Amino acid sequence: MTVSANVSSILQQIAALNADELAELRAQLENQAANGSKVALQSQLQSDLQDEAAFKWINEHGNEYPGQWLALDGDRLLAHGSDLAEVTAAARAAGVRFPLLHLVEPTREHPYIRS
Amino acid sequence: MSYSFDFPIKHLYPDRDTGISVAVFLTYGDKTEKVSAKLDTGADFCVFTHDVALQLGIPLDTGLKKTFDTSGGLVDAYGHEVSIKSFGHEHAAIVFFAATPGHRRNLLGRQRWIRNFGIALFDYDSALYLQPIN
Repeated sequence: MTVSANVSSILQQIAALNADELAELRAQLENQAANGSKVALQSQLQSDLQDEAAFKWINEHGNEYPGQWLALDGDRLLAHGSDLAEVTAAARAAGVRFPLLHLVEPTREHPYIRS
Repeated sequence: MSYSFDFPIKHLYPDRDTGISVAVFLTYGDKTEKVSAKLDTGADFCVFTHDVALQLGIPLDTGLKKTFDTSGGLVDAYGHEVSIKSFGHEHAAIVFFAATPGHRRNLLGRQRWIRNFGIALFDYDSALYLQPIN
């Protein structure tokens, strides 16, 4: 089974916890599970660092996909294509509930201004 | 005289992407999507692409129809109330969705987004500083 870079990082941090900290973490996770999906949704709605990693990826690779929708999870490209529904479905199939959906604008012949 | 402000949020946007991109969660009914959108101080309203409306299941033509004058020509769009969330700050807002696929930019304009934040821009280091306004 493969895990994402984020999960791998979290697992490494968990491995460094002492017994008391592990018990506290377990209690927190159980509390979240008991409160249903709302807590999980809240945490997924605040993934700004993930988004910055995605934007950094777009900065470096976005121009390889002109006119296409990209679905990213941090710096991981999950899917790309011209059909947003298909791109989103592929990203969800990869297990990401809220991928960042980004439309790469076609390369302009001239610099852009708003007149 | 000098002025100082306190901004709790710093956002680093892509330097080479066209425009200042921000991630926003849009929720309509029970559907939520996270899309990137360009900060546009020259836009009066928030306008998203036709594709995004379809993805959220929005019955587009039941909304408030408005025509926008853009650098690429006139764009027809429909306004719908959604929840829009960025940087942990969420509010309900009427935003517009392009009537046809021709409009290829998600824009965060003054009404319903820019006015909800105090904003400082340091473009030389691709940094946007924000203070949510309640």
